[in-house]
Amino acid sequence: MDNNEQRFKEMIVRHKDFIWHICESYRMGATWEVSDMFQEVLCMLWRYYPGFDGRSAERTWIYKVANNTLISLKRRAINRQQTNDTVPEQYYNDDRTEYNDLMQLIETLEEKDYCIVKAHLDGFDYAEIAKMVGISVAAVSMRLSRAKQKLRKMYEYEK
Amino acid sequence: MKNKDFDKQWNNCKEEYKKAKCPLDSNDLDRFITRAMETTQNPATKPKTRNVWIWSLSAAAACMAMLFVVNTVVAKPADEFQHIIIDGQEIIFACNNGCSPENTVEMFNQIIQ
Repeated sequence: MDNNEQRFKEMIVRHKDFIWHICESYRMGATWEVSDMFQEVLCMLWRYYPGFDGRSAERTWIYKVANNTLISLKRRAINRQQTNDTVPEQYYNDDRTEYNDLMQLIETLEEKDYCIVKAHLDGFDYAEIAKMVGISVAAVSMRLSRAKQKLRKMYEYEK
Repeated sequence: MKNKDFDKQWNNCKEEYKKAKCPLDSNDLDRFITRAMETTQNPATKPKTRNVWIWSLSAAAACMAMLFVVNTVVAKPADEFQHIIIDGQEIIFACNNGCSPENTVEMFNQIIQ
């Protein structure tokens, strides 16, 4: 195992819980098991690892690659469901009811708002989110506040 | 009440990532990492192959360019031989450009003058 592989392995071991959490938050029912998503994310992380120059924090870089991978997997899963004309799967069906309720509402947001809200809930500050999404810090703050208002309304309507 | 409920849920969700736990043990994780490394081409492991391609293509292009130069400029056999007589002396020379004896005589005269 060369240096590059060793460093990559150590990084994954350091962040395995967080990577697993990101995969879990993208539940895609029976289409993709969390472990399959985890494997796919590791593949993409390894593929893009040479491009990681340490300018952003490891955690931020991992989050960005993992999210992009999972968003494209999800798009593919949704397209497949639509072409197969099957009944949409229940994405969130584990025992974390509160988390799942809110995540289901967050899923209905527009893709950029979804990424911003998710990153905020996953502990990233505005500056980090701004870097990830490619907008200004002020824009992140504004979009997050609007998305939260929207979610609140949806939540009240549902209850 | 509903507002408070939403805020509570929102704050609970913000704690969720801290509680996350990967269920894989070190052997399983090792297997996942190894599989990722084996199945995915990491560009960092590829430059040698890519360099070989680049060098091969460059060498081939250089060879072709050299062949072209040698073939057209240096080693092209003469198309024809011209015989001209200037001041009673016969001059034989190779001509690659389809030049006529009249042109050549004119050219020689210009040089002599």
